[in-house]
Amino acid sequence: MFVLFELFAAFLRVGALAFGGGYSVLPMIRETVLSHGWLTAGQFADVAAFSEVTPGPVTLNAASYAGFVTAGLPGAIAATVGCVLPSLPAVAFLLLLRKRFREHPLYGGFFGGLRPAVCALIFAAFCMLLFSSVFFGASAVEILTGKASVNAAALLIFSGAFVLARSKAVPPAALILFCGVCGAVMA
Amino acid sequence: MRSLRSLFFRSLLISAVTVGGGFVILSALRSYYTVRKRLISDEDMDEIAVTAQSAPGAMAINASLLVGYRIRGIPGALVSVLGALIPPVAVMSALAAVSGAVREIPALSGMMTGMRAGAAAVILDTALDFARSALSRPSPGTAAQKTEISEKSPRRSPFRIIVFAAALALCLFTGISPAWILLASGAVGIVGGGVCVLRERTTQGRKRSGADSPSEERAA
Repeated sequence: MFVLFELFAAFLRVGALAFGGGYSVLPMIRETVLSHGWLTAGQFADVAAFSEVTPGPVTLNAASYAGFVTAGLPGAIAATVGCVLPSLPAVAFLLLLRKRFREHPLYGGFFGGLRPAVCALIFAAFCMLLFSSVFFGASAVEILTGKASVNAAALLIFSGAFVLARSKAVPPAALILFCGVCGAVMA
Repeated sequence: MRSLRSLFFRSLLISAVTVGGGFVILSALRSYYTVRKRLISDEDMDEIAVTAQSAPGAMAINASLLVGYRIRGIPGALVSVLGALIPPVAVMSALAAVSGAVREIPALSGMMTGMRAGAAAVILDTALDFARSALSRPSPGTAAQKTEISEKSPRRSPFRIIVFAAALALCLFTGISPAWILLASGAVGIVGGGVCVLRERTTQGRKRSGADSPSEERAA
């Protein structure tokens, strides 16, 4: 029972503080699941990749996955409900705030001030997935000091996928599935 | 269409067929409720989009919640969110149940490495697009609260680039929670907004009409 409460509380925190949404929440989820030992770094990277090819936002997908791995279906539900619960008061509060203060410099200052950090967290999410695939899960420090080895197949897939993603010619989900097929063939 | 049951099933359907969440869900909600059913006006939908993005948590959930609220009040909001939750919980639970076995098979483990590399590429692409607007000064007149990505030639803001670099370094090299990094960055923005208010007051005191530029530009 206690683990259900822990899942609920930890993801309640993510739901309440995850400004920016989408990829920028990945570092916060990673911190949450790793510090509690609910997922390994590799499992987390899998969730992030799965999340691109399955329905639903990444925050919920990660909550459901970590919850299920830890405590089965009740765990998945506890984590997901925790994640969603802050939305109701947060959205209600913001609706009121926007009605009155949308032109206020402090309101604009807060949300404008978030943007560089949100951008940094998206880059951090990219680094996490790159490290877990191309560098066999090495940390940033290990890579900078040259202690990490490179997975040539993954590097090739990443480079090709990046060119295709930049060209905007392929939908992201199809691109990631295709990368999965390439990875399976090269393995 | 206004019944709670149809709201629930529509939300379930939209959540089940839109892969990736976020902006994809917003456009699905707009095309159904604004264009097809005319239940929510274009302006209301814009307001929903901005609020859903600004609020913490998953944008797709915030948007479903707001749409449900517009149509049937609080019960509508709850039913709409419940519908949107079921597909991801079901799919990810199923994946979690089988993924332990998956790791043992070399080809499937290779598939996961490929998918991670692909997801890294997609996220880098998104990050580069987002950096164009997030690291530039807000365009004059629109103020910092405008969250739409402007395609006009952005002017790099050194101030924002410093905040960006500091946030990235903290996130990659220290154990500081990303939540604190976000809140600190927002606090820096509030200080910037405060500086702007003070300066405007001094300018008004001197009865000089300066160019009306938004908060962070002055902070920068």
